Amino acid sequence: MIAYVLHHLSVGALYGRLSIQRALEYPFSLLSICLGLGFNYIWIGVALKVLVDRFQPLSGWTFPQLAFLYGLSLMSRGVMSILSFQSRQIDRFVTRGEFDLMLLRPLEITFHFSCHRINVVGLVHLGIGAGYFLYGARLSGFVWTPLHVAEVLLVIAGGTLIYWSYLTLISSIAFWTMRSQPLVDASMELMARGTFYPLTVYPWPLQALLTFVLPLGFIGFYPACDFLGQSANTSLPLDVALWTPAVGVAMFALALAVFAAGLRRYESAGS
Amino acid sequence: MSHIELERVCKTFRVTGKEKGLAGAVKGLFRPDRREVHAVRDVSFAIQPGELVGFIGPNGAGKSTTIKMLSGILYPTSGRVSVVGLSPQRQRRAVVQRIGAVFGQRSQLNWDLRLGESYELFKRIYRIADDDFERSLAELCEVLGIGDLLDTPVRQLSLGQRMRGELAGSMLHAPDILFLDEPTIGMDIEVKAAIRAFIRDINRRRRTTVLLTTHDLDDVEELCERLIIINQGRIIEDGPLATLVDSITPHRYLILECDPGAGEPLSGFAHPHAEILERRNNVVRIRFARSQVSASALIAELSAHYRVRDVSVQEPDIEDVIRTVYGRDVEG
Repeated sequence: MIAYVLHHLSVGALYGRLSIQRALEYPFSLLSICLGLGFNYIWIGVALKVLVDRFQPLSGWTFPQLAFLYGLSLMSRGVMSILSFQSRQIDRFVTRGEFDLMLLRPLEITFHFSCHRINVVGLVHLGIGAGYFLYGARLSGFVWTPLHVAEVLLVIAGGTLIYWSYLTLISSIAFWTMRSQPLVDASMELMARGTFYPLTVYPWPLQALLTFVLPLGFIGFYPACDFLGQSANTSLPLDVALWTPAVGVAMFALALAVFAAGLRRYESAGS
Repeated sequence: MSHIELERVCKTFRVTGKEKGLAGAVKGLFRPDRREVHAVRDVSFAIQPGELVGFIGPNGAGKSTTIKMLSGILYPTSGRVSVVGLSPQRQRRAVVQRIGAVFGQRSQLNWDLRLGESYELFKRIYRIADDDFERSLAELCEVLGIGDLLDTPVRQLSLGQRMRGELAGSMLHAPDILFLDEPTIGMDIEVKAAIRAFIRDINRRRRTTVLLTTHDLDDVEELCERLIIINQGRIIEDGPLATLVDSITPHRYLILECDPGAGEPLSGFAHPHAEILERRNNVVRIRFARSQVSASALIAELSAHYRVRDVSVQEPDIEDVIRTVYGRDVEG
């Protein structure tokens, strides 16, 4: 079992190296994507700061607290984007028969699908997310203890699983319908809205939706409430740092099962 | 133990038909025309270790679907598939470790990287030991003539160079079985010859079992001892190439050049097992039933009655054989 895991990790590492090499083959394209993305994220932060400073805190959240929440969500999104950007593109793989070559390799298919193209641009999400998080942590009284650091890492890992599973579940619909990209695009929008702002700004049905049905609130909102002592309306037993990975693992198991069931229906494409 | 075994395998796809135009598209939303397409029907065959088998059929006959079931990509609707004694669906990872595959229309090489980097990836994926990898790569580079291309980005390779690269990539881990789907498609004569030499070489030297799908009948003629013909999802012929040719086309042809000064060539010729197909100037083409009369007997008989200057025997073209089989199947 250990050899099996190590083999997969070693293949993943090589895919990572080759993906960086491939991205560097087109440096202008890489630079323009990174600059565009970075500018977009910074613009969102500046707009939010102006809004909060000029008018009032957003549902009781100050700008540094919002930056903390935003940064926490963005780091999970960054890791997911680096490791599994293509989970949102399952319909392309289904309609073009692109799973064929992956199924011909002696690797766990979900792992191979996720890591065969490491997305270098995800480092921008991760880097800017870390910037927002550190800025927010410094100004909103987050205490840097070893336990808190471990909890933050657990939350990022759990948040990554939730992101990945959420996108994989939606994108896997393509195994049944051939097309899922429009739904994936809409879900990405919901994901941005549901993870970057405090859930308390939304009416309660939406809060309930983002907690119990599409548990995106566990990526950033609930952990940030716990770390910063903010009210979440919904009180959860146990430490939220344990909830996020637990929800992540449950969603991951569900996404794996749906992906595997979908793959059994895979029909390849004509040659 | 057979390397490949299929027992009453069927594969059915559910497709939704659409009428043409906007009205058809709208109608399809409310009353979709769902129907089943039987891509592979009741297919059974077995291939022994070291065999080199041609698997041919017209477009849409079920060749690729069969190969995809053998390589674990598709699940059969019913029937049993076994490769090296394992189920490609239930034991996919163990099976694909022991097979190699080249799909002529789909590249397994990394477009933006050097050819050698794709091989480095295969080495890691198939857990090939350093020594084995070096030896295997050196051997494949020599046979396929790709040693100079290892540092070239795949996107800069010509079609022929890329196909040779694909073949080397599929053999690096020394698989027991190689599935080749149209490996010579679009190649020039020289590249085709190199690819055929390679296939022959790995089959003879490494005893690799090869299942070759092709539309190029020269591939079949030059490489395959056995031929499996599939049409409309069913196996319609399976046997040694020579036997198939004999059984499907029992006729041979005699081309006779008669003396130009002797009037109409072969005037008044009549034979219970031979007939004149064509007279052109002083050249006559005769078809005869090989099982009823031998070429030498017929030539002797003709020479005794007519003034013949030259004679040659023509074997049936494999294309004739295939055309006969496909035509017979459609009529049947």
